[in-house]
Amino acid sequence: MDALLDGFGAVGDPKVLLGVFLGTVIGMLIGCFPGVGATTSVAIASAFTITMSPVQGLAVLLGIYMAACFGDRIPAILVNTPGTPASIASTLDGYPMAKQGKAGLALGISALGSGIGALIGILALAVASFPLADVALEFGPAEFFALVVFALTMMVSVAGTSLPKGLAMGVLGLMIATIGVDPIFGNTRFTVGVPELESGVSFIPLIIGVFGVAEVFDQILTRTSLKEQVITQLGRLFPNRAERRQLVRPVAIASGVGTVVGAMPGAGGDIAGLVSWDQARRFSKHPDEYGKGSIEGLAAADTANNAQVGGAMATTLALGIPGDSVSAVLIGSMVIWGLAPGPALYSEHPDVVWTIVALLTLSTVLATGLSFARLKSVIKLLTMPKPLLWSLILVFCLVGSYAAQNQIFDVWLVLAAGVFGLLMRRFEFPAGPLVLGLILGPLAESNLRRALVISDGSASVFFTSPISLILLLLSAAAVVFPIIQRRRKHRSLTAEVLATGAMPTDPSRPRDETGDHS
Amino acid sequence: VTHAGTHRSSVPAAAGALETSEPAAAGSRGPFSDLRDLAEGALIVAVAAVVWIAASALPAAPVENELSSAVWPKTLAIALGILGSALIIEALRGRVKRDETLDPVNAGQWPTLAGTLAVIVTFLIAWHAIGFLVSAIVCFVLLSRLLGVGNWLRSALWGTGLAVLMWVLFEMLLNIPL
Repeated sequence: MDALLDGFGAVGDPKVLLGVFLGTVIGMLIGCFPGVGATTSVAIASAFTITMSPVQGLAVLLGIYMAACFGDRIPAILVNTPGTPASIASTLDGYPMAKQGKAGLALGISALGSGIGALIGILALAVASFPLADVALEFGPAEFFALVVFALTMMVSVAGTSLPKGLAMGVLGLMIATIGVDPIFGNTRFTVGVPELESGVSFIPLIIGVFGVAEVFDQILTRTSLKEQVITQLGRLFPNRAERRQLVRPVAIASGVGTVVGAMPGAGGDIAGLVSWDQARRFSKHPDEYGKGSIEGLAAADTANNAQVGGAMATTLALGIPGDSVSAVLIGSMVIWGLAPGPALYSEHPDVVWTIVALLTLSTVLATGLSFARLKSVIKLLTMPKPLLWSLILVFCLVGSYAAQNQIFDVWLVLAAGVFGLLMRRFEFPAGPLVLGLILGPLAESNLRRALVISDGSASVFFTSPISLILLLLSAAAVVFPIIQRRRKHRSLTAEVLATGAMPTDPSRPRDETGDHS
Repeated sequence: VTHAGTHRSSVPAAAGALETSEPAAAGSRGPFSDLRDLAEGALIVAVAAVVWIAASALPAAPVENELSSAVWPKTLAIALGILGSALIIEALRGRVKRDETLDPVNAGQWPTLAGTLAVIVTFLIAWHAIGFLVSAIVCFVLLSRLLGVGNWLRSALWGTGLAVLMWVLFEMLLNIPL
């Protein structure tokens, strides 16, 4: 009880409240700009918040994280372009609603669903993460190593179009994490004589480069003269009584599905939104309306998008395993503050967990309010010229990365990571697994080596522990299952093409203005 | 397809959430059809080989029964080598999936990107040599003009504003010397 009171009490500090407010406003704005995702913005903000106290820094970062999940649905509904990957499912019904002259109602329903989903996710974090941490306290090195393997395989199985590419990026992240001093013996590895690399590759500059700079470079490279068409006629914002009644079921389904999907390592808001949209359709009385401007479909997608934040944070805080890319970046900052997520956080700093719960709740309430106020001003931002945004992001990325350790080397690292990130995008290598590998690398190596020392070098230690064995089997299933699934799909599609001579279409993909799949 | 109707490449995880091109999955790309995929696989195998060689040069474990510093990197090198080989096999069978949500490259934008990189490199060198403020004002103005913020006057105002904003934020508010 003391921890709960201390945790919530810490949020009463005016500086912390200011941090939440700033983070929420920044997150809302950033979420509105397609391409500037929550990962990029939290990574850039990490550079600035390092010098703050942990609670102040968390207030800003969590504010951005949560609010970006509110802002990203605005371009999804008004421009048919998701602000972040998490709002992909919002385009399925949100944009058709906007085209039917119900843009305001779509934004209103979306905001309400997002708020309710976020609060239910946070409730799950508060209730479920403490028992989860208690279980994890029983884990030894073998179980933790198996957990890391499980997290990596879960992420790569959903993070890219090609399984080998996704896995390769995860392994590359693990490799980059080996640069620097050996965690057991203290000798340096792969530093190629560069003293700045002895403490390892700085996480924040690398992430800023791979996500932020690479995004700007990619947008420059793909720029066209075509202007985005923003729907500006809103209409009414609030659903009427009959519509509210209709929304109860999809919101309830999506809250549960979103929280559970979010808790799975690596499965972020995009997966949560799409799975919930599909589940809500199955249980709907009007499944035919889904994809054509259904208020149920929109509510399901956006509720799940935000509910997953609580689930992802539960996994992140209780196990130290990132629920998604954003929480991976958050782990990086928390480690620097001496608050490494994992079961130890719950036994040593339970008040911090409650502070996080309070900060997320506060940010949700603020973001829900902001979603209804000043909506027209936010819409104007969607028409902001891209060059202004590009130059702003580039400057923040370059100068912000310097702040982490006050060394120019980190800024060069940002530039190099930006070019590397651009190549990754163009050659379709996903960035998510790279980040996860980078974060989990030290955890994987130290636990593997400790486990093998305890077992006198015998690998059987990973198979004699029931938890470790189950996690490794699940990992194998996570890799093998998509391969089998794709092969089956490939066979059935080939058969369909041969039988009909026509190319089949995927109903889950959004359509362009002509109604064709883009 | 209008920009308004497309998914931007700015949503990297979208690739994972949405299925790739069904025509591609249905096998419209034949064996040996794409050298790019082969090259990617070969590059990954080459990286794995380099890591293996570099790890082999690491010292042995100073304590008996302990694993040396090289074991983990070598394990990863093997894994990477296997994945690179898997990619090569997929390429040979014409089975590498394509993410069709990626926006196509506008060839006319290469000079802008090259110029942006050149200005950033110049900025980093100048920052080290003559300090932050002067180099930032000059380079941010150039960057703004290059990216298309507007005419020289507008670019000068925007670029100078950004440089001063950064300087005030770091030097005065965060107490971090630039």
